[in-house]
Amino acid sequence: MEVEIRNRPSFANVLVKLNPDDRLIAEADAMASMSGSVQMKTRWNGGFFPAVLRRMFGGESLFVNEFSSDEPAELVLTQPFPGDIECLDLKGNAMFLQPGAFLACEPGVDLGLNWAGVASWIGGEGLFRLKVSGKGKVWFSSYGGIFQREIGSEEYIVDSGHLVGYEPSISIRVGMAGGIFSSFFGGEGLVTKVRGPGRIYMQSRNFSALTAWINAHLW
Amino acid sequence: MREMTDFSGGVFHTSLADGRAAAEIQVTSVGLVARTTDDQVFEIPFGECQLDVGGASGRMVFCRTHDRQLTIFCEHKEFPAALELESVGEVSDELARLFRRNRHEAHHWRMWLLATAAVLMIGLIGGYYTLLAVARASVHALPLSVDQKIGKLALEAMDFDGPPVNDPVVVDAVKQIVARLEPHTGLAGLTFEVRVIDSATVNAFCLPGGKVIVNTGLLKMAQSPEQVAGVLSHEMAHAVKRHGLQRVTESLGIVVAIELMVGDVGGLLALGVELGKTAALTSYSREHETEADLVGVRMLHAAAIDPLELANFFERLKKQDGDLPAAIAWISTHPQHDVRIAAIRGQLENLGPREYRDLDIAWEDVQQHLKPLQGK
Repeated sequence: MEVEIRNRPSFANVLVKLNPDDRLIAEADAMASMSGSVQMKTRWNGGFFPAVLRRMFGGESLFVNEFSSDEPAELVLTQPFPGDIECLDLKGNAMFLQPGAFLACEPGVDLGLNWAGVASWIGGEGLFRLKVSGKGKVWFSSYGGIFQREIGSEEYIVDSGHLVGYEPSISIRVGMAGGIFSSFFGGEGLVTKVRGPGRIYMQSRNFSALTAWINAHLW
Repeated sequence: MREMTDFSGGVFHTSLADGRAAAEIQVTSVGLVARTTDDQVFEIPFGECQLDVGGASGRMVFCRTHDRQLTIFCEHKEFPAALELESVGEVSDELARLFRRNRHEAHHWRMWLLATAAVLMIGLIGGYYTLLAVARASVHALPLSVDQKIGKLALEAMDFDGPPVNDPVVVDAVKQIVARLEPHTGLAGLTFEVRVIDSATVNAFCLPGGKVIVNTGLLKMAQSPEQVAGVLSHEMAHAVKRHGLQRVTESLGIVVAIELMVGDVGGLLALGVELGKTAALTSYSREHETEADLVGVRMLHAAAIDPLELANFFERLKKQDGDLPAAIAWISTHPQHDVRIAAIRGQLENLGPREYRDLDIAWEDVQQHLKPLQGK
């Protein structure tokens, strides 16, 4: 299977060249186009109850599609919002993805839902997080560009809504950017404080900020 | 039972291709041995192990060398016990301290969260009611033309129970009752318009801005024009106290409150039409009903119409209630008439003596003219 992420960073999409016996799991509605020979099987996203949980709390869809082909074929996957797509190559390690970030993975990857805690929810990062583990490639998407950062034992601050993914070795705390006054009137509100060791992925745009901006212009 | 000594975990080290790798970790009697998926082996003796606890779950145990070049980590719940056992207590105190620190931080965070949530909740509730109170007060600062526009649009959009009555004897009688009360509303600039609807439903209401609607069913039920005056005084009081507009602000909440305060009533008008329609038909709040009773009785008293006639009309409706439960809409939207009869009598004692004058309306004649109407 050959995979290319095209049109980065604003309107990224994944071009997959499937060989016979290749299989790819993708988020429902991620397919933009495909060869006529590609077979698509729809199944619950990890069984009925896990699928419902992922839908309710993980921001993922109830179903996932499994793509395969008996002959060389092409498949294009994309995300519903403008932004970049990044590929992770899991080799027995794991990664947490924020709700809605998962796009596609190889069959060897396990998708699990993990309790993120009330703090994460209050910080606008969701009550649950998607845990991808096992072996294989995972593609995840962002709103805006994706950039990564290695975090050491020193604290690093990410504004709410900008965190896309992080390794399990990263500890997360929600706090205020400054004092009560500067946090709320400075427009930063609550922020996510991360501490390593580990790697985090961030997105350059923020959905909540966009919706707030639109809302402000509706009235 | 043999204790676990092998666990899944990972390694951070600069020599690794990506700086990290998944690894199988073995806890031995001398330290930790991590074997990556690429078969690279890393070791940290207990004596060189700097422990830390954290990670996304808060339960991940990190073991670092003093120079911080190598970190071995594991999240397995049996891992701390294996460390304690194999190190023969060498790391026990440190591990216990780290877990205690984490618990303390979690507790501290929960308390902070609870306090912040409580402060925010109090602030939000307080802010909401303050805004609503300011909005209610702002209702009286708005020109009466807002009420009149809402009333007019609601009137046009309403479906009545029947056709309008044009018989001058009937319409003039109601107009005369309203005209007697109008000078005593206490609100300058508010004028009333009367519309009589041919419907058997015993009902009357007043739309914002002074549009008075009376059903023939209510007129037929009343034994005297003073009883009609009693009902209308109450309904007119809703318009006088601008309860319709207040209901709009209460129903639409904070958005309208802010609109009222900044003086933008455009959106309010559009939304008010829909609510204005129902405002007259569905029940007002108990507070508004009580206020309308008080103001209505005061108006009747000032217009020299005996307020007890309203109480008498209640009594009459009570008797008829069993026969015509569905038709008496006015009573269904104005519950607890026993309480209200008592309140009216109580209020009258405080208003002082007054000589009441009957309305100059030939009620028998009006009843004769009502008879041929369909009363659907």
